[in-house]
This record gives sequence, structure tokens and C-alpha cells, in this order.
Amino acid sequence: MNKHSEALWGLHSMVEQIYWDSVYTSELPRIYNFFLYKVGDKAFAQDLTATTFERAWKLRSKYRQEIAGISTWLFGIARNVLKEHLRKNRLSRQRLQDITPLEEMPAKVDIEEMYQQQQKKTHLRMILLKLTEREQDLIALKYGAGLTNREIAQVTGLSESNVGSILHRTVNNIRTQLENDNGR
Amino acid sequence: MDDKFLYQLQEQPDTEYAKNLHRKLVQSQPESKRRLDKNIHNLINSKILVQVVALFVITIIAILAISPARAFVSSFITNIAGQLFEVTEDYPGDNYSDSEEIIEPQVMSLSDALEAFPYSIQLPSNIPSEYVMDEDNVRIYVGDDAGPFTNTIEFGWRSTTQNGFIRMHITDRDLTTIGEIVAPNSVEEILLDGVHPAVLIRGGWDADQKVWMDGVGIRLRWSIGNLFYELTGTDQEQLLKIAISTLK
Repeated sequence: MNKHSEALWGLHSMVEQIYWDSVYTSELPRIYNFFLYKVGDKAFAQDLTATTFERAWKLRSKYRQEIAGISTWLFGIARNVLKEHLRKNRLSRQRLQDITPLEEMPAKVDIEEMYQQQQKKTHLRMILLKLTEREQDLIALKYGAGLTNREIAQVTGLSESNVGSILHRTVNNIRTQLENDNGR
Repeated sequence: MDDKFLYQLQEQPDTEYAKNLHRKLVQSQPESKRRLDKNIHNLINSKILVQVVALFVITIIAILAISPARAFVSSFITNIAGQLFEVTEDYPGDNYSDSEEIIEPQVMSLSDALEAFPYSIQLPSNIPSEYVMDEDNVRIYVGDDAGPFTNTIEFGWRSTTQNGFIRMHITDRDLTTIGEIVAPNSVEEILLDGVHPAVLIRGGWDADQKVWMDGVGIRLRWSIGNLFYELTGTDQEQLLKIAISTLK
């Protein structure tokens, strides 16, 4: 009996640990990219990601699978973390635009091509940072975090069709702006 | 829809960063739990077990007898329309403190209050015709003396035909993370104008009966920019119309 109790306890702890480890592995890139799309800065995105996971880990005993999927729960926390951070630091969009660093360049690549790709990315980031809060949110959740429209609807409280139409309109606007800027 | 170009900003988080964060999370597990994992076997085999069981039984009895403790253990946190709520069937306790400082608002006319308030407010344009602004009860909390209530304004409309009152509360305090304690099925998400997410809370805790009472009013809460708006009244349709008019 004693051995059984010990084995069961150990098994329970192990299963729980494996579950949260798998959540960490699968959700870390999504949360990180959500922030990266929102703020356009790696170090800042890393800080916000760390805060999100630390908070989630503290609250994890209160997470209930039957109420919300793990992604919905985590992105709810992530959005609150960002909101709090922006309010605390009164970060303006201008400042966010200022903290967009160049990426490290790997060795043995065509420097000219690399530079052009980098310019394109920076250009796209600038356009994303000028979107409205809601448009930015949906773009970051869709293309940064890779959520489906249904998952985005659950996270934001919007209807799925609303998410679809806002995204469609926003993507078209971004594409038009990119084309216009490139045509200049 | 050709949207592949939008994925180009995606990247994998730095491996070292991911490892360090994971290590930090694992280490952040409560020390007591780690110790419990380690020592459970020894504990079961020893006389201490009898004492632990006795203590456990006493704790359970205490938890069942003290409603705030019972509420805490039987609660769970849920996210509704981006706002966190702690849901429990048990009365969470009064949580009054004798030493707590009472912060009084400043009372002034609405126009003066709007000038004193540091943010521009979206006043509702659709107030039911039988309601008039209660100019004598416009309360504002600004400045350092207002403590946790800083940058909060409250005002309302009084019914001229019956004993009705609609109150509006606007604050820059982030209400998404306060984790308000509510009863099960008392909170629901609602879309204003079919688009703007809001939270509808039906009822409230009754300190005398120590239970959640459904009939004590409805609160509707939403945000515009960095401000949180909350309407309190009794007629859901009425509150929705007023709230929607702040969005236009």
C-alpha cells in the first residue's frame, strides 16, 4: 500500500510536470511571436513572454480545462500583461517604433540580399505598429501566434465572422500600403 | 487571400532564453511542494502520519467552517471578455479592516468634474427620457489623496417617474486583472453593437445573508482606450443602449 501510494503520487507529479512542460514547449513560440508582432522588439518580447509564463505558472493550479483551452487562457494572460506594461510605462507607439533593432546577420550570406530582406521586414513592422490596437491584436494573434480565427474569437471576445472580416480588411490595407510605399 | 507575406516576421525564440526561462519556471515551484514530493514516502511510514492526518482533518473542518477559506479553496479563475474573475459559490468574506483609511471623493458639478478628470470621457448620448442627471452626486477621485481610487469618476441619472437610478463609474484602474469574486453563472460576455466586448454581471454578494443575490442589480463593464466604464442599473436593455451610445 505504501509503495503504491508513493508510486501514484510520483506518477501524478510526473504527469503534471510533463503536461506543463509540453504546454511550455508548444506555447512559448506562439506567445513570443505574439509579443514580437505587437511590440516589434526582441528583448521587449522576451521580457513580456517571461512575465506571461511566470504568471501562468503561478496560476496554473487554478486553470480549468473545461472552461477555456490552454491557448485561450495563456493569451488572455499575455494580453493583460502587455496592457499592464504599456500602462505602467506609458509607452507610446512612437517609442515602440524607435526600438526596432536590426537582426543579427548570419555569416556567408549575400549582404545586399540580406539587407533588402531586412529592410522589407522593418518596413512591414512599421506598418504593423501604425495599425489600430484591435487590428494589431488580431494580426499578432493570427500571423505571430498562428491562432485560428476561432481561437482568436475566444481570446478577444469577438465573433468569428468579425475576426475574419477585420483580418481581411486589415491584410488588404497592409498590402496596399506596402505596394504604395514600394511604388514611391 | 494572399497573406503569406505576413508570416515573414515570425521567428523561433532564442534557445538559451527558452532554456533559462524553463529552468526559472521549474524552480519557481513552491518549495513546500518540492519537499512534499521528496519526503512523502518517509512521512507515510512514520508516526508523523497520524499527526498529519489529525491536522488535515482539523484543517478541513476549519475550512468548511470559515466561509472565506471555503470560498478560496472552492474557487477557480476564469477569463471572460479579457477580464479575470474568481468564481465561487461561497461568500468570500467581508474583508473589512478597522485601520483602513476611508477615502472621500470630491463632490462637484459634472462640468467641473470633467475638467478635473485627467482623461477625456465618452459621455453616453442615449439616456432614457425619464431619467435626469443627478448633479448633486457627481463624485471624483483625483490626486495623491485618492490612493487606489485615483482617476475615478462616478455620476448617475435619477428616474423622474419611479424609484430608479442608473450609476456610471469610470476609472483608469485596470479592471481586467483584479479578479473580482463572483458567483457561478453570474457573469457573461456580451458584445455591444455586435462588436465591442463587455462583461455583464448579474447580482452581488449580500453581506447579511452571506450569499450571492441575483436581484440586486446589473453591472455592465467595458473599456474604451485605457478607461474602464461600468454602468449599474436594473434594466439590461437600458444599460446596453446607454453603453452603446458611448461608443459612437
